[in-house]
Amino acid sequence: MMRISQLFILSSKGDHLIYKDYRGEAGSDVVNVFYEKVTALTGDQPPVVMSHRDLHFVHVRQGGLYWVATTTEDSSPFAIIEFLNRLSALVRDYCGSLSEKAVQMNFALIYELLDEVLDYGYIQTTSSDVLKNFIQTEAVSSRPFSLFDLSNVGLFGAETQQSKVAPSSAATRPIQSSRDQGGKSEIFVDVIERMSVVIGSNGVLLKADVEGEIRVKCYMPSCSEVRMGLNEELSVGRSQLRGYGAAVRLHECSFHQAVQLDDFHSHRILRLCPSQGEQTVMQYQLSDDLPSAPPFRLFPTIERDSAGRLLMYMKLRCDLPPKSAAVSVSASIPVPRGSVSLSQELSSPDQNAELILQNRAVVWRIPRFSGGTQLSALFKVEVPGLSSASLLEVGPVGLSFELPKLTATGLQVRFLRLSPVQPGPAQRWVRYVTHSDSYIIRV
Amino acid sequence: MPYLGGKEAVRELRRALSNPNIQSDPLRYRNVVLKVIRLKECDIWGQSEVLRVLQRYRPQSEDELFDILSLLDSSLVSPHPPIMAATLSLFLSLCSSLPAVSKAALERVRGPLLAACGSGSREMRFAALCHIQLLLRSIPGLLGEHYKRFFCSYAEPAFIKRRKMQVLVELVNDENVVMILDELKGYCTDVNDDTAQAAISAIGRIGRSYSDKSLEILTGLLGLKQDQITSAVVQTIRDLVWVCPQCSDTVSSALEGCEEVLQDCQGKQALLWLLGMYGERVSSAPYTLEVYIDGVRSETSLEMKMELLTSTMRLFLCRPAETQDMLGRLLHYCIEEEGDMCVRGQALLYYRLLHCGIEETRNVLQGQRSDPSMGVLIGRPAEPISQWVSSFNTLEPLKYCSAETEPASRGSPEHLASVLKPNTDLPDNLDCGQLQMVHSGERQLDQLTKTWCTAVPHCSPQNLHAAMQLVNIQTIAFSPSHSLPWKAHQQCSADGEPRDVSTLRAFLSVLTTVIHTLSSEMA
Repeated sequence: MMRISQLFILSSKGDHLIYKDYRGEAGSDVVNVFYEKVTALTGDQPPVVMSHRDLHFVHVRQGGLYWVATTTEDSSPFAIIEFLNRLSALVRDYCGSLSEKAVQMNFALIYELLDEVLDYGYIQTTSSDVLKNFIQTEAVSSRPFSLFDLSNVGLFGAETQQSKVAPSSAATRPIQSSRDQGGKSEIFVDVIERMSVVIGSNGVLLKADVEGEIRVKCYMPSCSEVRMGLNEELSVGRSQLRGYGAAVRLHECSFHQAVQLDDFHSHRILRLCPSQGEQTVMQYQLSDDLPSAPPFRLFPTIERDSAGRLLMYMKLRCDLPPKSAAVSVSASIPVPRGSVSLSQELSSPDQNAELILQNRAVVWRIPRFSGGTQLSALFKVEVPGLSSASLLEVGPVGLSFELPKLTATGLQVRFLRLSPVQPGPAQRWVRYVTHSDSYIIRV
Repeated sequence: MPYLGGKEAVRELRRALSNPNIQSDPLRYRNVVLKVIRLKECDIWGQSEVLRVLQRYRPQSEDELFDILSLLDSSLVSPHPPIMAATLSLFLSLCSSLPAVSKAALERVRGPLLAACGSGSREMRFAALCHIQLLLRSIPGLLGEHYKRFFCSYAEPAFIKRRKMQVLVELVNDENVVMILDELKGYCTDVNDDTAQAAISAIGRIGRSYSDKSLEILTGLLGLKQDQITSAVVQTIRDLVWVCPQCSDTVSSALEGCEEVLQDCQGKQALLWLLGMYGERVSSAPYTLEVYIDGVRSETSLEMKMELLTSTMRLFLCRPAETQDMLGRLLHYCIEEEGDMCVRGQALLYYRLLHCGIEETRNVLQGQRSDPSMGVLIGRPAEPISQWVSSFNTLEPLKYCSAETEPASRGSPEHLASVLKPNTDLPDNLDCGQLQMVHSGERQLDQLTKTWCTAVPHCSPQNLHAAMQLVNIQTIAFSPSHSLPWKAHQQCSADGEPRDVSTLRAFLSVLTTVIHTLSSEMA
């Protein structure tokens, strides 16, 4: 039978934040044992499963903290990892955000949660709907004061439906743990996609995968039914036939247990009663069949100049539609070992570049990159003893970026209707974002 | 604290399974099982628990078995990894006698496992990867066209990259080998040394089946002139050549100039071994060795010096004119000035071998040059599922590296892992006189070998050497593990003259005692 013997939370520096022993099988020095093993490793991430004599540690990293469980060898790793991830999501829901500070301010709440989710080491439940009947402590949140919270006034003082923008911190307030509900009723729907792309040195797209999720964060007092409509022309599956027009296509998708799919097959409508807090309603994948071109292409020129320095002339082109933009773009260009210094010429003052010796790479940061434009930069790197073979070490360029308000697959939430159960009006927010999971361009 | 979801279901199931009335009546049984497996009403923890309890039940007939399988079919492809894994574990244990059904189940689980490999949580991805490695042991072709999913992301932690590379090596076939090699080439210059080394040895393993392409990449990497990379490449080339001797030509031309770059012991050892084996094709081999020989006084590593001795001897056998002088200097240093007994003993052995004559030396030193039977990458037999099913869905696959990783520091390929040998009895007619004759330089080796049917006990050469060390008998050299007759050259120091029969008898008795003890322990 799968059971957890002890559960503890450590900060990244090893401070003991939370410790709970469920079965009395081992002593509390396990925390030190675990942290010693972590620090004994040479700088890299510690493996998920570690053992020390007859103790087995399984841990995940969430919010910069170590969430560790000790268990027996025949426990299911999937179950324990899933449990630890869900526990950290619960703590995030209840405290508003997940960080060392949030945990420190909410000890009592977290211990109460730990009491309820595990009984003598056996997992009871991780559903916030069930738990709300038992958790009494209120959260202490550390949300910073922000001017945006004052009002929903749009541009020029007029309040219009279109210009209503909620600050991103709106979705990070704690869910109400007590029975009587104050605060606004809101529901946030996030369509989050992660893009994994490899482009070869000749510009050919070698791999393009998208993994996406629709997450619903619900701050509504009672379970009201939500009807979410996706693109009508959405097709699921790998059939060879393609309809005319820009059909939105997914290769695979899976749904949360609570979602009713009767209308999905006919009209692409999902029906569910979301519980308080965050849940993932739908997960989907698309491989090698993206409807649009990959967002970035790179045209590099790499050579040695007469003074023996490494010259890298990088032309980065953004192929998004002209009205959109990418933000927080960062290109990491590996350089040969022994690189000493960098001088650069960038085309605008808000970009910056630096040589990070620890990663042995030049990192070029572009805060905002509009669609349909291109930026170029010239980097000169001092490498004593640079040979023509060293140019091989200028390895694949890794890009990381965020595409707000855009989905790579084209999936959209057409409408979001709530059945009128609760008294007041409920705010509905939909947000789209695509992140780069791993965007590699070979040179 | 109410336990909602699974507890009622589990209690009912337990009650039903232990009630003989229900079990004997198939209709009632089926109804109970159906009622109990109302899995949609449980949350995932409840479902997992039900699946675990079901593991304890053995179906009475095949119909019952297939009933259960079809009821649980939708859980097999559940998007929740814990349920999918628990269901598959249950399927595999129920169908242990039906390999076709097990294989079909494994293929159905491919989609959810791949999805878990792309999960947002990196720990979940790692767990899915390790379990995919288990599945690949039984169905190697399971994921051939999905190899792109296992390309490493540049921000991933090293332990995930290492597993992904291991999986990539397993998925290689004629169509994707170029893409996979290209991708691995990109990882060889990774800033993390472990990742770079893992990538280089992955290329080496692929080279067992695709030697040309791999060698091209490996020799290209030598051009970077970087110590860590060159060391890893030279060691990989040594391992590759041991298995694929036909690449020795390409290798020989690539070795020029490596010695300037290498800093660490293992790399230098690998280079020395290669120069010793294939020195006649590497034009600068004698000069490289000379550099090392001149620096032998300041060399601290034992293995390096032994390897240097062996390689210089081997090179001397094929290029005597160039190496005679330096061999002499080396032997002189090792015999006269060297403090360590192993090195000294080995040098003495070589010196006396040379005295015996060039043919004997050749027989001893130029043994096996390669071992193509060590395993081709493609075409390995698929393991039966029963071999790994007990560790499926437990912490075990996540703990250890898979069997494919080779230890970073290994000696020369001849001294590889043990192979069991048939036990032949020690003959009682061991004759000290024959030992004496050998010592005096007469050619009695063959006869001695015949009479001394060396009883190798049922234990590894390492155990034998360890045991010998306990009685102060040093092993100087031994032949490859799987050659028969297996020979070992031992050396020990004692008071008294070597020609003295009593000393010899004492030595023999100690030796036989050790061998008897080991064989009786292991028997």
